[in-house]
Amino acid sequence: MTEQDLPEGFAALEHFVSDWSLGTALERDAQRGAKSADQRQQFYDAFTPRLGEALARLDQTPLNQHDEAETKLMRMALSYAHVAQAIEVQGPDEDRHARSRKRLLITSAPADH
Amino acid sequence: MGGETGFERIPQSEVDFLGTRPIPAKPYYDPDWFELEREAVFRRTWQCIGHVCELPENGSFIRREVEVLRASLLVVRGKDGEIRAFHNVCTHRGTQLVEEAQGKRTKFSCPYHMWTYGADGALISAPDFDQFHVEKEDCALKQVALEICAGLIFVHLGKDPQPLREWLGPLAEQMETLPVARATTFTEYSYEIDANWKLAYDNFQENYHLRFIHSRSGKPTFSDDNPFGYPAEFGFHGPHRTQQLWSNPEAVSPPYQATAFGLMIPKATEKGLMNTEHGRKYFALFPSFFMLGTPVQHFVHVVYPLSAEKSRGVIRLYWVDEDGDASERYAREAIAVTAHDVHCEDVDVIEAGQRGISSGALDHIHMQTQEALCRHLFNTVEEMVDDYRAETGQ
Repeated sequence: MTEQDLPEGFAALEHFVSDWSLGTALERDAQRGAKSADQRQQFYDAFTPRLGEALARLDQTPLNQHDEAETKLMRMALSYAHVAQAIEVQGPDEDRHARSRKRLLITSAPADH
Repeated sequence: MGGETGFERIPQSEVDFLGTRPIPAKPYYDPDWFELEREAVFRRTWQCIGHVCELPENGSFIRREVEVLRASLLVVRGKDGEIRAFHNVCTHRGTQLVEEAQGKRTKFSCPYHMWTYGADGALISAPDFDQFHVEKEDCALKQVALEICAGLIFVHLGKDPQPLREWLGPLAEQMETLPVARATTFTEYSYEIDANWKLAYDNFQENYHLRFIHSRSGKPTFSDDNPFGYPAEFGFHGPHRTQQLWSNPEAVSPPYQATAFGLMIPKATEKGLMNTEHGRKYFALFPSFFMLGTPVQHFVHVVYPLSAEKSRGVIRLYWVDEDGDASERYAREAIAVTAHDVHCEDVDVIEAGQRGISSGALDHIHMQTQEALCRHLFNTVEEMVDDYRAETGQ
């Protein structure tokens, strides 16, 4: 991993790239369940204050022209939605909920294409 | 009288016409009853199997299994732009033509003896055809009735189908006003469940369970006045039904959801999707189709029966246009996560219900006033099965 993994200004989030920059909604959903509550919380705490800034930065470039760094940040923002649902909604029920999610697999999402 | 939020329960008098009897349990697990339903219900009704956005170009095709009628269908957009459905069955000796779930082709060749058909279903060529005792014109793929409403593709595998729009009545026009009619893409998730299709379907047309099964994810739905999140209104339209979801004025969304909806609403407004009077309506088309009209979390859910105690559900959130920018992409993913989480919570409890019913412990199950849509489904199914029995002497 290098400092150029994410767009300039987002270096503080670099160490989350390998866990949370995932290509499909199915993978993001699975990772939400595979990571521990602490790992989810760390990502959530780090990303929550940066979400608005990240989307504003990414909105400056058309999606099909995102470079590698922008794509990584975009995918992390998408993972954030999954993690936020775990933390803000499911809370202590998340582990039980994770089992049910394995029954409904996300087969397609616009961001996958 | 309504309380602080103005909510009032739908009174029993509105659904008196459905009766109040206990409902027999056997049709929810009995294989013999299921065999009757195949012909009495599913052969005689329109089934939603997809959306026109899956067939963007001439030659685009999808393969769809309609297990309840033991059919595999090939749905193709022809050279003329028309969408047609055929049995995915070579007319030579019945081999299934296409294995891929979707793709694009101008011709379809049977792997067995290379009989080759055009996108209009006509037999183009067959090796050594002069050795056969039949004309090519008589060997086209078997076509299935297909009609489109609101961009949704419906097929009918029975005889002399009533036109789709007539079948849907006033709901057809209402559906046409919803984003699904203009959808170009979707998020999809699906499940297989050990449950009778009616039991699975019923879960999604009553709100009585919300506060217990969706105690966290359903929180914005509940208020002191309406602790169960019951609907504001029911509608009955022949075999179909609707419910108007109640809007909780006290609802507070979790922050990430509020952000997503906040990003989405201006996008939907720009696209002219917010002006729908049916945006809080939940459409339940007979036999096993749902659609929620809400413009920013707009989903279709179809329960496909596989056997008396097994079903497959496919849920799609439909979107208009490809993701326009990062914010829209994020909002769509977040809104889909929200819906997915809720649907996931239902699977275990539906299966627990099926195990109980299938044990034969109960002769009857019970449905309260606020579960009237479930009662309406059973009444409709029973009537169709009774008619079929009378006609066929079974």
